Amino acid sequence: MAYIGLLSLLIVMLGLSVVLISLNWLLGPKKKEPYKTYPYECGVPLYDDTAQTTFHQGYYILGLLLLLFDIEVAYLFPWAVVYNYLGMFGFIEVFLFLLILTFGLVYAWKKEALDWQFDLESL
Amino acid sequence: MQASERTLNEIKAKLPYVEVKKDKLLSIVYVQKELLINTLKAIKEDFGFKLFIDHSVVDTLEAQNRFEAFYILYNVDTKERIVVKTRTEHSLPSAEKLWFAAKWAERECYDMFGINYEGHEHLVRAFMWDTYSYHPLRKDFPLQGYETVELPSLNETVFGDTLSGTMNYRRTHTYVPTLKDLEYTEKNRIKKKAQVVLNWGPLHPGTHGTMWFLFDLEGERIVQTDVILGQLHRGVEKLAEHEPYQQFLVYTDRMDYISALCSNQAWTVAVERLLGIEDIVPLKAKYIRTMMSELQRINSHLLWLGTYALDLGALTIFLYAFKEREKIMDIIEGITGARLTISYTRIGGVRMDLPEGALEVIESFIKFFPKELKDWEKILSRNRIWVKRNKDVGVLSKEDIYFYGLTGAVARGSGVFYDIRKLEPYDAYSMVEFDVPLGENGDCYDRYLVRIEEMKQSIRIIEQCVQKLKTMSSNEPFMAESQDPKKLKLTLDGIGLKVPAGEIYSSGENPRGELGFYINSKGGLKPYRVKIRPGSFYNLCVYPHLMENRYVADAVTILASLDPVVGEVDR
Amino acid sequence: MSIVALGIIIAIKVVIILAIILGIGAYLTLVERKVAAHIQRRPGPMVVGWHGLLQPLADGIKLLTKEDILPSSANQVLYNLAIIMALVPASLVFAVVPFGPEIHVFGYDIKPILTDVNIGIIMAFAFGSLAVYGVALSGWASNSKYALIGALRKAGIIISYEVVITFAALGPIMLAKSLSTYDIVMAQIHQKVWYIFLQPISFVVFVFALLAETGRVPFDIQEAEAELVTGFTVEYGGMKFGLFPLVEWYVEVLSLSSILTVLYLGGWSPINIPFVGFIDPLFFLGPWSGFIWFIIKVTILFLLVLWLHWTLPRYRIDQITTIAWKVMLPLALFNILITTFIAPLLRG
Repeated sequence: MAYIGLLSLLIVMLGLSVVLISLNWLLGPKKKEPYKTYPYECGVPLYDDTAQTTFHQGYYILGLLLLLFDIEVAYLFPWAVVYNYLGMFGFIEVFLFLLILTFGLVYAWKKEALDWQFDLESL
Repeated sequence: MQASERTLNEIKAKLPYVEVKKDKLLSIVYVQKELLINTLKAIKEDFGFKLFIDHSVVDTLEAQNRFEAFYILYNVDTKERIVVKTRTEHSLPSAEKLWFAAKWAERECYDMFGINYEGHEHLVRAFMWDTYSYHPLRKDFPLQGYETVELPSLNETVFGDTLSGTMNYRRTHTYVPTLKDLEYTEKNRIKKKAQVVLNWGPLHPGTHGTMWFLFDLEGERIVQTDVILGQLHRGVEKLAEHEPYQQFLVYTDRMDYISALCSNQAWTVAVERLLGIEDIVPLKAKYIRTMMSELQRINSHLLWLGTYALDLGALTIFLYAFKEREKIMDIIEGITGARLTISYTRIGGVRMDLPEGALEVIESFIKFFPKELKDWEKILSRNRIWVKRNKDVGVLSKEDIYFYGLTGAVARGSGVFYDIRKLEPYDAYSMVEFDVPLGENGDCYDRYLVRIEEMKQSIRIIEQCVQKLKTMSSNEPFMAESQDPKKLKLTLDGIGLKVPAGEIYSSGENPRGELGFYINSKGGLKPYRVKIRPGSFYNLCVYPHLMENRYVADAVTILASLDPVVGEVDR
Repeated sequence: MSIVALGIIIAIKVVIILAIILGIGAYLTLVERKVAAHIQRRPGPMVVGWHGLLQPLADGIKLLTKEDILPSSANQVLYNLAIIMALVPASLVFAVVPFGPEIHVFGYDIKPILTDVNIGIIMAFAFGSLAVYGVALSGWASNSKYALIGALRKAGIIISYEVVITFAALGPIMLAKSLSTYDIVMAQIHQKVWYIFLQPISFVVFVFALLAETGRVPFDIQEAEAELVTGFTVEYGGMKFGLFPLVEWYVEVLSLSSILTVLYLGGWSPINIPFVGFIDPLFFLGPWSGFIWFIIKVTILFLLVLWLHWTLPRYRIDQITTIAWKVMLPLALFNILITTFIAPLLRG
């Protein structure tokens, strides 16, 4: 019941964004000229035909790290709310959990996975 | 100064197959083409001429061995300069193992003269596109080029043959590159080794002008780089062969358009040295030229600082620096009449005297400028982000300076004391006191600090010039009077100025590096060959080396700290 | 409450949020340009309207009437979807932001918050995480190397700072013992202390993450024209191009500043003396003073962000991710450790 507001805002924003996108197509001029739709590469012919080729693995490593740590924090949210009522037991338990995951962070740090696009040779 | 008799005799003793000659202006070593590389190696390593200044070719239209090639080298310890010459018909051995800067100079000679260099790693054209079929600087290539291609203008495609009068212009033009030519050039210039090749190309707000870089990228690391130049090539050296000496002055300020007065001064001093009239140029003219040149130096460094900060994200410094530039440009406009392309100096002096009140305005400017500079230093110099982005980025050692032929603030940032104003003083530089700042590590941060300090030293020079000029009355001459007007005609418009036969290499300290002119004259009103040694061209040739294995983000920092201007690189 | 009354209340709230996103978002462009201009010692927009007040209108009309160019090698569906994925989640964050205290109007008790659920903060961060889709999709769909590099860099930064911001937000949640945004503000009012005084490290980390997620200096490698010429928006034109900075720079800064005000600065409460009480110089406005205080706090934060933009240079991409993983994340973890000791000491 409380989500009615959210749902209505969602529908309104979806409609608004579609309207905004199509306004350009409605109101703008349409003149076809050669090379107008050529991809931007500083005014010279492209060297590679398409940019959707292989993907460097350095970007993927960041995604993996996000996955691990975001799930860790998702587990920590409920604990944060009821922390006061759990006493010492709650503290020790989660402290151990955090310690294990911090050890994971330190491991990634030492392996240079946190440097931007590290060299494969150091693996 | 040029190499002494003693050095030349030592060279002749060690390498008996060369011939040496020393005249008033140059010390020359002649050698055969086959023994060229050994000679250059011996002169570089045994005699200490480590710094590469220039290499080019003169097309003497003789029946045998029509091309005369010369290499200019410099010894930083003993402050001597030497020229090594050889003759060839159509090919030369490549000196790129000795100096990397020679690689680029050789590409230019191949492009302009068609000389084949044996042993060159990747001989492509420097300025023209790779499918261009001519060699423009040869004496048999006409000045207006060959008109071969039909290129109808927009008017002609729309209106056809109904155009009349001046609208109906000629349809044949000289050859212009098509997109296919550009594609061939870029594919030929770099062979892809990694993931993608990015065109950091001519139309880009980050490159300082129309330079075309090709990055071979692996993710965000650059595996190899190359530069395609020539987007702003105007054939200035070809034009110089058809212009009288005074007329050529106008071209010099369109090369390095940011510090035009310094280029003017370098050309004027070169011709004065060739004529031998350096001593009769009046003192007032010398001080005026020095003062204006230093104002231009501050102007140029302010533009460098503004664009450097803009590229790195500190957007406010750009506007502050340009506000100070406006003040300087107003001063220069009041004195010379122009803001950008100035042409104020004349062979023998300057165009006109300083107007009334100019010295007071300059004095008030130099009173307030150091405070502004100190404010900006507070924002930038110790800012943690600025330091992190500039320290240990683009490190150049002293050996790199000699190997790549770097000059100007780039060389001084690495600790090499190479300042033409101190080593070969011209105009009033020997009569004013100033220091030359030297860096330690040779990274971008040091080059930044060196240029900021140079601005402060320029203020010092201007102050001394203003003090001296105040003591001179307004009746003192600002243009040299020739003793024998029939032999040497010195006027403000320079018509009828005949220069005796001879050759000279003379250079001046531009804010961007050393701007040198090699003038080969066979007597008469017009020079036979002018080779312009641009500081930015050789400063840029270290860029592929510095960019190996760095991120794309550093491309901007390193390029801005080398400070190239495309007008000078491409001429 | 009858259905009609409920519908009217929800409609009013939605309209207010729309007004914030479009109206205030557009006028914030003018505020930014004026502030930037005065820092740079020049007047800024002065021509359109009195002192440039109609400038956003002129900009909007200009952007709307530009030609709609689709690059020849782009995926059309993903190209347009990316904009929707950028705009919609950023605006949904406003659904969980409480603008003021509970007010009594026409006999109804209304809480000025669109969705008062007990997992408000989690929803706010969830919608913030969806922002990365807009960036990554637009970069891939544009099929241009500049767009791809810019998008991947930006996406890398956003996901690094996602982790940091959620770890930092755990601190106030532990002190308030609730995930609902309304309850966190009420907890600060009952405990008579703004959480910024108890959690300074976490506040600093949150501000860094705010600057990075919204792509403002010193983390704005996206806008580094010198390197990548507008990065992932390079193939967009007209209003599509205008929506990206509107969403990133203005709507997201407003929404994250609102979350920061809720978590650390006590929401709508007036000036606070820790553990003693509140002083309200605007007491004469009655129940509406809370709204004014909220607006004041968000405005101060926005002006702080602008000030940083026009003064500092920008970091390099590897330095940004290094800061996130090696400096901010250990600080946030350390902060959680400290808060586990402080939290039981607070009452209520």
